[in-house]
Amino acid sequence: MVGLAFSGVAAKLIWLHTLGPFDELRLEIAENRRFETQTKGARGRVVDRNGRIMALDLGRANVAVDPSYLAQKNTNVLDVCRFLSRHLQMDLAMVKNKLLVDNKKYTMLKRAVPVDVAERIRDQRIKGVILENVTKRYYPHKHLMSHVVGFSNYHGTGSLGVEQTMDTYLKGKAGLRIGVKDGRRSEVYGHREMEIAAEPGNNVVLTIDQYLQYHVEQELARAVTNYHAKGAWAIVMDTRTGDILAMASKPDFDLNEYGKTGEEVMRNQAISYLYEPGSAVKPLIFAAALNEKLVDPDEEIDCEGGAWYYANAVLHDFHGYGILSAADVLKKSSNIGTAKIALRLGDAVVDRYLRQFGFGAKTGLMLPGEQTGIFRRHDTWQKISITRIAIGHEMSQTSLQVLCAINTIANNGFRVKPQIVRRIEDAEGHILHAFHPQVVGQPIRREVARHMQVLMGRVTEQGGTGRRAAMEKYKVAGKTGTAEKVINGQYDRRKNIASFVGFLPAENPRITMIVAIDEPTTLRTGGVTAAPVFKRIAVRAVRILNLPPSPPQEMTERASR
Amino acid sequence: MEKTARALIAIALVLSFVGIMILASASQAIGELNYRSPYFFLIRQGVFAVLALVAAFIVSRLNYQYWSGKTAFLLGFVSVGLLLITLAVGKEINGSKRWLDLGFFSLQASEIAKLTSIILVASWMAHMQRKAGTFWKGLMFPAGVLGMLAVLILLEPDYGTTLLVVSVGFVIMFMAGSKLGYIVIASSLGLVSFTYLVMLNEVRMRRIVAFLNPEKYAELEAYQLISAIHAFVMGRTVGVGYGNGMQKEHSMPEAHTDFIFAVLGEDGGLRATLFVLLLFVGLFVCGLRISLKAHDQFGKLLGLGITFMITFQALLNMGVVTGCLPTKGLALPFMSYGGSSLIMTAVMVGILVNIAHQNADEALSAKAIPIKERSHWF
Repeated sequence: MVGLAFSGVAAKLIWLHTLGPFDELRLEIAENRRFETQTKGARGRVVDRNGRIMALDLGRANVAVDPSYLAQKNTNVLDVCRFLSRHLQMDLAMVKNKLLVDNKKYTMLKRAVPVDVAERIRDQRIKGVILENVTKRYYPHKHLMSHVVGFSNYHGTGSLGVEQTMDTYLKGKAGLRIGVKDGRRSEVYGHREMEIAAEPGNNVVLTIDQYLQYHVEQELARAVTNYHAKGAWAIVMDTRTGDILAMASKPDFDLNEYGKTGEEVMRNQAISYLYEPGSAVKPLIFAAALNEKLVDPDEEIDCEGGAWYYANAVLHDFHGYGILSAADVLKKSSNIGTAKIALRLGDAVVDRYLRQFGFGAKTGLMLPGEQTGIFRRHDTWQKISITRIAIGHEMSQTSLQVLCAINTIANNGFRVKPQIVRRIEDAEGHILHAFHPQVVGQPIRREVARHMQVLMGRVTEQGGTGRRAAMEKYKVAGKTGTAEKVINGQYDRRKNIASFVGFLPAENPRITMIVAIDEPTTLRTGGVTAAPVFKRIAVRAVRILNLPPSPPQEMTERASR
Repeated sequence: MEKTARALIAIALVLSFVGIMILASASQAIGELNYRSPYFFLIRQGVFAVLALVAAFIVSRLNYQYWSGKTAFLLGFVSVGLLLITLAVGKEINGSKRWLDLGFFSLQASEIAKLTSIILVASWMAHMQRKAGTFWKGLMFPAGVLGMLAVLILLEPDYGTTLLVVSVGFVIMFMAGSKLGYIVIASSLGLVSFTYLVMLNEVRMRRIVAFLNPEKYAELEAYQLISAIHAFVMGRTVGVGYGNGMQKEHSMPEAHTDFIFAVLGEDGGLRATLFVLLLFVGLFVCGLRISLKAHDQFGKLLGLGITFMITFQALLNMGVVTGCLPTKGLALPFMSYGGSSLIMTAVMVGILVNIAHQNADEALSAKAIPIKERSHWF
């Protein structure tokens, strides 16, 4: 009998090992053991122009549980619940809810737990608790330049800001791992078939200066509080290169908490909010007229005492003026004077110049969400249109478009493309791609631009609308702008966008800046709301950028005029 | 006769060596997982192996006659006591209370009870001499003793060991001259009640159903069994190479204990499994030869009991792992991890060796003192 039993076992062994029809089963077993996974390459960093880190990938761990295995292997599941709730800072009831179910094999408890917490849990070696290494995008400066940096979402895809537009560069290259997994579905050491290492993504170097950005945001926040405004935004640009040195929009949000942020707050207002630029267009009309030699700054223009009837409508000035010199029309921001100058140019020429200044087209800034705005072709204009377009109505533009247009004057007539990314570097710091300054047009001659810089410098002098933007040691040139918002096709007198766009030092412009306040309530016009903010930011900017002050004669000139 | 003893020792040593080697392969993954050391089980089994060697040596020098009579009763009391303590304060693993936690070592009382049952029945039946055929002294008393041990082991519960102890007991009784009819009736009764108990117990019942229908229960009960079958299938003739088997990597939770034969099957293939099988056959033959040549009835019964105990257990284990029998928690002698099992198996082999020595020594066997007269020494 014993011999029979031995023979039986031997026969079964021979059957299983060799004789049985198990070739297909062998292939199936081998296939089941094999695993193929894609490994993620770390996402590149976003740094400011000086290398300060704005966004980076951090090692984290997801904490998951196998509730059935946990209940089977741990005598006191409640202790485990308490331990996890304490270390993960989760509500005990919630942990219990997730752990005390029998029929589940996998439940995610908490994602992206810091490494030290994960290590403490790992040390306990609780059976049924699964720790998975992951990376999480982290934004050390939280709110700072949130609209520019943007964020990458849960799947690792950039969804806003530079994170979105530079996604292809930032994204790491996935690796491939083929190996053998054990009965617990983890890899068996020493049986790896193939490993193609994941490669980290490239780093994006912004043109933004983090310090300047910080001060800009501080000033905007203060302005929003002081003027009880709905919001505010500002852009600071390097006049010569088009590099954006700071770009901020209030309200902003913590990039690490993007999931809890409303879509409205995520909008980068500086490049997406469309409004009638208002008086900020006047210098462009003036520059066009100078370029066409149709106006002499010293000639006298009748400003009709503040009300002018033209094409079946009355055009008003904020303050009424009689006869003004052409230069003073700009300084005092007379609507009537500017409209009269525009009429000398004619529809087609005004249209051409404004388009050459960049109106009606995107600037091509590498940020998502830039708006084109509305700037109608002159053949659709009515008779009255030219007088309204000259003062920045009947159109909608973004602050960035206005800034770029004014920057053309500051940059001696050359329009440059605004840049937000300075260069792309690989993980070792080798430059892969540098974004060089790019001239995209020259609407006005150099000497006209130089002349305009002087004329715009007068705006911040005594008697000018922008005098609150004047600085002590730097000559500021600029233009105020106050536009009523259009709500449901009607101008709303109580709601406006107050702005100031300008550059400094006026005699040799280095930075161009626009500040816009959305619905200021205590004070309304750009001259009293945006201009002081412009000045406060400029004071910081000249220190950070180490700009030389204007020569004394430039400053004393103010008194003589 | 010395030749047979030498062969027996050689077989036992080779089995132990193969056992340690394959344990090194089988226990790394589970040791790393549970004790953070791939060598945890290997080191402990090494220590047990040294202790087992020492124990076997001492026992082989100890006249086997000492085990009968009062020693047998003493062992019986100790075993029952240990089983009771185990039932009271034992360590529960996978729903069974089989271990007494002694801190550095977990004692498996049923391993001691196995040897005790052999010694008790052999001693009693040898003592009964011609009364072995009677109903009360030849059947009921030894069956009662067996039953008591069996019930205590069954309560743990440990169905495999229970079956083993009872069947080996009956083999001894049959060899001693109990009437075949009695044995058939008694074992039928035992089998019926055993089956009834199995059917009452949900876990065991599921194991049986799963055994009959492994694909359907692949996820649960038959998981380990299917893993083991896959291990044999993957092993083919020469195996995948020492340490290269994959089924031991957490596919079989008991790869280092009850299912170690499957690990051998994958690593070493048919070569290795047939070799080990033949070693057990050799062990059985050696044990049989030694026992049947014993000079007295006690030696013969004791030797037979030991031989059948080791052989049955090996057969049951291999039968389970290859899918011939439903799953039972039984260790493969010499090979599965476990100190109690290894040391007790070594002690049993030591006793067999002693029996062989006594057989060879004619002079000594001539001087052998009848048990009755010697019993007052203790």
